[in-house]
Amino acid sequence: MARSGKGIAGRIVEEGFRLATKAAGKVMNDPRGQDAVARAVGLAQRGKRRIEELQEKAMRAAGIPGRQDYQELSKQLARIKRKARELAAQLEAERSQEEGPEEGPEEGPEERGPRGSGPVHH
Amino acid sequence: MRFASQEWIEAVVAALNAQPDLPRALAGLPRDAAFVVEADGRAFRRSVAVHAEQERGRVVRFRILPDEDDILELEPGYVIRAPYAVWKELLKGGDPVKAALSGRVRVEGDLEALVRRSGYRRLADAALAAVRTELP
Repeated sequence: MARSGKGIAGRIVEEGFRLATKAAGKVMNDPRGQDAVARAVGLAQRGKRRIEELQEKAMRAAGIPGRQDYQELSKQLARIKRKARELAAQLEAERSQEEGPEEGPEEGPEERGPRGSGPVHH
Repeated sequence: MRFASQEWIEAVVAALNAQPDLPRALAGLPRDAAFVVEADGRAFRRSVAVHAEQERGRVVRFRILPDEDDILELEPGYVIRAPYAVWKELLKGGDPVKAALSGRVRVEGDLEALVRRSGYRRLADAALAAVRTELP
């Protein structure tokens, strides 16, 4: 979701960046080559950012919502989604508490996947 | 251990933290990063997003995000994402820097800093080699 709102200029720079760095991948084994690639990548990233900023300014001046606006909106949506998820979990916990322990856990396969979040690991 | 499962990530983080050069590799990098293994057909049906934090050169916290979109709210210093097939290739010895430079691994964040640290790739390799990985 989001972070994909690229203008034509952004896409051109990105494609150029991709082609150039693909070729540069071959010199990565040499430390000097590595340094040169790092600098080139940094330069390309900064250039791309600058173009995006200019694009953003132009769009804002024209009253069109830009990439940053979409990103901010996506962030807010993500926050709302998280809050809704937390509320749903809270409601579920309260409901199962009200139902009492005599009902026992439901039979069936346990859901596997990214729901389990890891605590602090040392 | 199943790739990208909670226990697999735990084991990789522990193996990574056991690398003596890790503080040097992480010095100067942002506090946190997110890694996304994107769903890839039947082989990997559901995307997995992990958020990890470092402090003083060690990975001190990580969690599998319930929703990939949580990354938008967290705004980590790096977001590194690739389809499962690409991660699989990297686990089998593919070069992550070249994969990032060619765009197969998509990196949001300061790529220059990562390229400069490409010599520390051996730390990740050693950590991954220490963990038995079952690929789907």
